[in-house]
Amino acid sequence: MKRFGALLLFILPVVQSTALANTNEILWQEAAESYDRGDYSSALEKYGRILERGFSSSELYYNLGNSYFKSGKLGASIWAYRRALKLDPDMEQARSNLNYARAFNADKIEGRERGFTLDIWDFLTGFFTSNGYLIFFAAAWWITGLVAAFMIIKPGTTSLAYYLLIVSAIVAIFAAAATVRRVKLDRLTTWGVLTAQAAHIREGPGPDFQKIEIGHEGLEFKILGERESSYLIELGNSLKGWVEKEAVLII
Amino acid sequence: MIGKRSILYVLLLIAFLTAKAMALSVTASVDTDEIELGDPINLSITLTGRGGSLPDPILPDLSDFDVYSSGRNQSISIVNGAFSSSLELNYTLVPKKIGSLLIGPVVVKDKNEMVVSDPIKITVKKPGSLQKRPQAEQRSTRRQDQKQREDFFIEQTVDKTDPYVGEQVTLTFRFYQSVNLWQQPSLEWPEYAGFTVEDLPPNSRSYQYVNGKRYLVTEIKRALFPVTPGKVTIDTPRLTIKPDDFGSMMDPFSFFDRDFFRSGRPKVLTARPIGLNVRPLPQKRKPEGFSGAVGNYKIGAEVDKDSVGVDEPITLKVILSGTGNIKSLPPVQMPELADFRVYESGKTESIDNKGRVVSGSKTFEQAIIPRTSGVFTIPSLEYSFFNPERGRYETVRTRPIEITATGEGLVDVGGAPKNIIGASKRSFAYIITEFPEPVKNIDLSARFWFWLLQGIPIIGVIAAVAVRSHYKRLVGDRSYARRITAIKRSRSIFKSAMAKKRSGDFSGFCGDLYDAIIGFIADRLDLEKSGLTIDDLRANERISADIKDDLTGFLERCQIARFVPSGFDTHAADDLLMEASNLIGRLEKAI
Repeated sequence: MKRFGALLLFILPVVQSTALANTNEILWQEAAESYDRGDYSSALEKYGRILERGFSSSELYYNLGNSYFKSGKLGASIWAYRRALKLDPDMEQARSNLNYARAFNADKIEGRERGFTLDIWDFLTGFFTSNGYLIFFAAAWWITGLVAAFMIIKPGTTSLAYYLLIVSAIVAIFAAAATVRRVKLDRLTTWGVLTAQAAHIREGPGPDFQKIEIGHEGLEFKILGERESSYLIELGNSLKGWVEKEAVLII
Repeated sequence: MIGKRSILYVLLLIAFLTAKAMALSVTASVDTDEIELGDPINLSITLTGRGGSLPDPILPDLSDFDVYSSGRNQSISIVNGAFSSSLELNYTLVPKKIGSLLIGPVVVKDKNEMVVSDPIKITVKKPGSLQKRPQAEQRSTRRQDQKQREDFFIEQTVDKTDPYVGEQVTLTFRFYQSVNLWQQPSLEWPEYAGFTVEDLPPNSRSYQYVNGKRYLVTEIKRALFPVTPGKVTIDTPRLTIKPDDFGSMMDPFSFFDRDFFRSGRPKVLTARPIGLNVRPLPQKRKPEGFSGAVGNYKIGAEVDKDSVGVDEPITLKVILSGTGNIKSLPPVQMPELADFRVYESGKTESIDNKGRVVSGSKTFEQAIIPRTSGVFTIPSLEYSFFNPERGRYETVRTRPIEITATGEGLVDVGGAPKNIIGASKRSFAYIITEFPEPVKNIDLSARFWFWLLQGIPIIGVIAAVAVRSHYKRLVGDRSYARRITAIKRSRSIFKSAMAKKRSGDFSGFCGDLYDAIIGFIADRLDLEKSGLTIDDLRANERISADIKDDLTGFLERCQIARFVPSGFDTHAADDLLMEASNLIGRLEKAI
């Protein structure tokens, strides 16, 4: 009896997870069929159920994004694509669809003038994810360490080692700085997207405060804080204001 | 001595009792009770009472006046041994309106009593109405105010008095001054009820002669747009100044004509209100789509691209430009575009007031997205306005814009679900059908092992430094080199001893063991090996006592076996070898 119990304890989680996976797989196929029929609300409902069951993947968010977009929910589709990219920053298709969906946002945010140097910096630190830059850093760091150790043990070696040391050290410093920026942007900054067709951006938290701007569905912003039923947001042009939480999805 | 002090106490007691008997009183007075609007009056409040301190008076409601504090004077006196205090507070009051105004009673509260002053009635008349009074009746301050009226005055004028609703009326405000000011004047505009207002910068300053007197004239212009027809009044602005009574800024020789005590006294200047008769817009020939725009405008429409793919957004801009109240310009009625999805993108304004006439442009922006492929036309847009210069309604139009949309479109087109791999670039029609693996998103920056690995290069560099310094010392420091290589050399000798043992050369074997141990000690202690005797080792303090006995015993046995090898067999050799090995181990730790 004890043996049977132990066996059950071992088998049960495996059976459970297999059943769960099977159900998710069935829901996944059903959602695809709904999508194929043009029944996007049904597809959304099924993808949503998979999500509720604790399953998460970039592909799931990508499909959700497409379903939202087809349903005319621009803000939610941008939210889903960005979630997909958060899980898999190299998912080219999600990036392409995100850029496409962004074109439908009615707001044109004039970007802040950052200057040539900062533009170059943005460009150089925009190629990879934080993990990508971290691997770069690790490789350059190890090369720097090995070359330095070699040069200490065998002084008077060729100038090639010397140049290799300098280059690898510079790459390591750059990669470390780029990693810090990417981690700050991708993991430490909270982003939000407007899901209401239009929402007032106000000077303070609540409807009693003066309106600054009107934001439209799909508008993306940083979330700096929250109070009562409002978020403090910052737009790409550094404009700060408050929007109702109900109109926002946190990415 | 005691008697004198007692008399002093008695006198002080009498003084105290006398002071207690004095009553608290307050009076309020003004220098004149009849003034013109804009003229100041002096309110003087005097408190007297017992003791060294007096309570602060509670001022009445003075909301009908602008109030400026102009001084405080307190004095304490002892008369016949009685303490009394008096406090005089002076205020300059400038009435805000015409009519009979009341300065209520001033209240002073003490612990025991409360006293009030009599209320004062002030009559404020229209500016200029008191000038006809006989000169003899006017007080010296009146004369000074009249002089100041000549030194400063303001006026406001308009370019038209019968504008249409929504037509610009240019108001010109001028401040004339012939004397310096103590500080920057403070200008308070009226509310302009019934108007929308735009400033018309820049302000100008120039010198002008009025009645033979030279004035510095500051001119400010504002554009007023009446919003309702009928009679409306432009109220007076109020300019508060603090004149420098030390004389005219134009006359450097007027020093002796100055009144030193009136310098910086505030004065409020007002101008004559202006009445306007605002005409309504004519009903005759009013266009159907007229929404209230007044001015003179042009209209234009443009798109950022006229050939796009289906579902690709186009920015449609409709620009109204011209002269008039740009901020309040009603929006352009955009046409129904059934073939497009339409998103309002907002509006922008650009106002240019430099030409003293409000002009600029207002841009209405929409994002329009073709639903299907084809050639579509954005029809001509009309905008009607009333041109007050010509006194008639006018209508302006945009030219139609042709848009070509190509492709299948993505938003409304379904499609067989296919895997993303190999799908076309713009693939909203495609979703991923293959069930994915759960997310494996590893954040390296949050992994401890990752950062632990990054410590290895640092350890490598430290090791390299240590190795380098070891080799450097081996070469440069002979004693260090001997110490480090001692074990190696003794092992080499041990090997030679083993070979001799195998060949049965026990004498040579014992000699090797002796040499190995002596050599090891000499290397470790940096001593000369040749000539190192057992007695020397006994005497060496760096070898601990517990080893010393075993060491010397071992060496003596080796010597005996070396020179008298009879009876020495393989077992004895093995024991000796074992003992030598142990001794080397112990010595390695000890020295």
